[in-house]
Amino acid sequence: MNFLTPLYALAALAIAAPILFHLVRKRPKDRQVFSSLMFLEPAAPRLTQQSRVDHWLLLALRVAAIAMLAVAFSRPYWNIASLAEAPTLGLRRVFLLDCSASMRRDGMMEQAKSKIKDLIEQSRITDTIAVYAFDQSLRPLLPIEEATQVLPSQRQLLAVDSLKKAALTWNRTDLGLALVQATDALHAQISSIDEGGAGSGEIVIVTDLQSGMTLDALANYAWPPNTRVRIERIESGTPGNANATLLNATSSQEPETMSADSNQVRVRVSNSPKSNANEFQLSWRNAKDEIVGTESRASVPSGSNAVTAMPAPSAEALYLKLIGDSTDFDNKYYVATQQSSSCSVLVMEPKSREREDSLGYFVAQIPLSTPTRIVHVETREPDSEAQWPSPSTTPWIIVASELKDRDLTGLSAYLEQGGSVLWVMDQSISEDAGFTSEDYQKAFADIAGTAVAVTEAKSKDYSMLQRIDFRHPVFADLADARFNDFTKIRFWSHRTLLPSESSLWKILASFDDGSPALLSKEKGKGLLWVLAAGWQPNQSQLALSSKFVPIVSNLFRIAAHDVQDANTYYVGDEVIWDDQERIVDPMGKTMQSVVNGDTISEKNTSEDVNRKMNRCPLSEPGIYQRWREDKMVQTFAVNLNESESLVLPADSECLERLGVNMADLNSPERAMQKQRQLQAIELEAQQGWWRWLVIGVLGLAGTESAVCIIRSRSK
Amino acid sequence: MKQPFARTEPMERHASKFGIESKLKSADSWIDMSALMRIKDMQLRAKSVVDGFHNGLHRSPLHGFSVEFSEYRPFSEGDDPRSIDWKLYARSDRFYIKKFEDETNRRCYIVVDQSKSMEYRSIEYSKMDYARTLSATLAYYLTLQRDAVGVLTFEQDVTEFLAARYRPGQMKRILSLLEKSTQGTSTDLRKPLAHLAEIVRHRSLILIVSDFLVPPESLREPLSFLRARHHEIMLLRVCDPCEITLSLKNPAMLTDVETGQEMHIDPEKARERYQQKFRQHESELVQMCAQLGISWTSLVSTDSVEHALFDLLYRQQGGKKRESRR
Repeated sequence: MNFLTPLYALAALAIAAPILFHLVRKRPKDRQVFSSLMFLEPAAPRLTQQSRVDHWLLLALRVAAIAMLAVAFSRPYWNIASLAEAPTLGLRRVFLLDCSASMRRDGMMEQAKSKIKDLIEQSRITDTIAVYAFDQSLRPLLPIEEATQVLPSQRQLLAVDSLKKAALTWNRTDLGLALVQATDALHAQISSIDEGGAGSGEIVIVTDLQSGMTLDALANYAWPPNTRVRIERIESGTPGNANATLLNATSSQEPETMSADSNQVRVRVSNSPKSNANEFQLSWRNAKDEIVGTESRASVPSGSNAVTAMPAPSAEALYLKLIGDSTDFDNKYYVATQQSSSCSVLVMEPKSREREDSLGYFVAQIPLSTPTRIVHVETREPDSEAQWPSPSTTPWIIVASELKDRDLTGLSAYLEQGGSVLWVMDQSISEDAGFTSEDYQKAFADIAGTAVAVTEAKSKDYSMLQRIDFRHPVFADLADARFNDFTKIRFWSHRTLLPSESSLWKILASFDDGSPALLSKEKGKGLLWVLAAGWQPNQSQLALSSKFVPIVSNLFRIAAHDVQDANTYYVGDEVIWDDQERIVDPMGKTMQSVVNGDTISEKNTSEDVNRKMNRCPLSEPGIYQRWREDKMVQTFAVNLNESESLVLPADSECLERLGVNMADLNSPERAMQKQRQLQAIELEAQQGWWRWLVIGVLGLAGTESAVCIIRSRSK
Repeated sequence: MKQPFARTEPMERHASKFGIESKLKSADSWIDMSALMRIKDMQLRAKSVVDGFHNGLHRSPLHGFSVEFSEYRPFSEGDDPRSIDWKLYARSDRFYIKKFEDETNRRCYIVVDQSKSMEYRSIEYSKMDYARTLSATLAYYLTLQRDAVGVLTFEQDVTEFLAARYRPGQMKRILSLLEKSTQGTSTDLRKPLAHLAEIVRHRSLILIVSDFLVPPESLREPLSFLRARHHEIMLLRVCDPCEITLSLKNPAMLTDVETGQEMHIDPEKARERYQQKFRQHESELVQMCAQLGISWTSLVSTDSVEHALFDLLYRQQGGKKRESRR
């Protein structure tokens, strides 16, 4: 017999108590009060041998009850021999291999793989071993679901073999996310296999544990108690590191700042605290790694940053190179030179309109220009004889209600060529204003090529927007709870649209009477938006609302095929392009759209957006190209995330502070002991002897009470 | 077993004096105390006893005896001329002095022990109940005699005090004071008696009802002091029957009701020694009373309270004789 909690057996010592009580001279039970004891003398209590003998049965019952209770609390179980023979439950062990850019130093990746290999070989045959690689995401090399299916004898071989699939990346390190995902995978296995959660898991992280890693995902994560984490740190021989970053790269390319006296750019050089180097050379390099222009020098003490000026890069320069530190994985900073351009937004409305009734006046107030593109807002009279602009120079036309036949023909052709049109139906349907439903319906038929029934909405006071599609890029910026209150935008009048073929239209927002407010439709290569009300103050509060600027800006960005700034991409970011575009990576290959890590042959479509969007993560630094219809429209630079340059080893306590259950590294015996204890718990729970013992105690207590009652009655 | 208490001897002596031997010989003729104590109203209790006592007296040869006696005496030198009854002088042409009623009436103080030991009982009522009934009876009897009656209750110290008065409603006040429940602590007669000696300056009859479970010598000083102030004192000792005989059946752990002290007692072994000590204590008290000229009456709580009335009557008779001799 063994005991799960043998210390409770010490409670058996309590049997001394009833023995003592029975041995102690019996004091009279009868107690009486008396007026005064002044005439009395104390007499010794009587004790007869007979009374002791009489209570032997009671004494035996009491002693037996206490002894049984002590044994019950000690949780006895039998048959330890069979337990030893039984196959022991293995530990579920997950290895996380850091494959981030910082592991490119000094063959650290080889060290890490070697370390994992050793650890795998040290594992017991019963352990389940899973291997994952991580950087800013978690990638399975041997997922735990697969590892549990493998025979114990093959587990170690398979795990070691899976390490060959691990490859270094240029991504940043998000250890928090990797831990959370690995723990969830591990915990799902523990929960599904071990009923009652008796099993336990261990996550072994093989990493450089750099200070630039991200742990945010752990902040709100409830760490499971039966999963512990071990960190196997890979040390670098050269702890110091420096990197250079170009500051305000975009603005330096602006014509205004490219004047003779400011033909310089600012470069920030960061030197890590334990670096041995203080002097660095900075130079612009071309594709052949040749110096372009002159070399600059920067003196930065270890543990500090310095901003230094150097000549602006020429068109030939691809990247900024830093020389002088011991690690070179982050010494290149790619820069994409951008050409400034200009485009126009055309507003078609009668020039006779007053300023506050004008659509163009409010659009002109919006800062649509960017450092690399100047946007002009032009106004044009309807039914003008002037030539229609090209979508390449004027990507967006805003038209008011007053459209003549010539305008309708021109707009239709403009849309077919790939332009974007926003039709603002800012005139009420009434005989006085000269607008009838038929006029609008004819315009719809001509521009959109589909019939839409138009009537004037009958609202008592005002209408508001509802059912706004915040997933659409037009409203996506306003989706946050702080900004998504549209109830302050009131529309005094609007038109009710009833498309005959509603499937062709995408409704982005509706009025509270259910009729569409903003809807869009593809026409040829172009895109038509229809706003069923005006934004002028006499029509609605839209133009005066704080939401007007982001909505119109977003419409313009979609119309102008606007893309992200060329120098704001980092490795790991996603690049997005539409069907008419393609992205060429630094190696000259066209990138394929990737969803959830899988390349798909067919172009990815996003139902939320009219235009079909493709996306792919940027896997390495360099200069990428964006092509549209055999014309390169943009080059953009992708750089290493700055946090990867922070290679100073972090304290492993940072994980403990976030609630991670850290394992004691030096106690495999303790783990074994814990394992044995878990097995004992399981066996004891199956046998459940303590329940029978407690029942026995209750029986003895009942018998003792009965004996006492019988004795007292017989007296 | 030898009856240690000679309480009946003086009673028989008194009875022969008052001619009520027939009543004394018949046990049934005394009031049944257990029946009396069932009467909740204390005034009714007292009235029942005293009325019965009077009835007994009316059948006695001492018919006509009364304490209500006011006298005229011839004026002699030294008397205050203001006390001359001029109306009588007009009728008889002699000087007589009228003795005023309030001068002839006595002041009586009933001092009742309400300590915790008085709560003890081995029968259906406690010594305290008995003492209250006894006090009420005495108060009622004395009030009927037109005596001014006052009450003092005490535990360790004086708890309540009612000055002796003869006035309407005094009896009710006495009864309400006696009926007050008390917390009860230990017995200490010295402080109450000293207090009484301070506040009662006129010569009075002081009836002390207690179990006197204190060392006799501790009483000598306060009682001597009271006697020195010419007070007539009568000690009425109240005992529970069990206190006299220690009639406990089984060995038991006895707890002193006043001190909380515990003592294991085997009655069979302890009884003889207990009774011996009890008798000695009583004899010391009796001896001390005899030395100080104090009346002593011992009552068991099963005794009829009429015994106390007889003793009181006897003491009055003796007192009158002593006074007249004086």
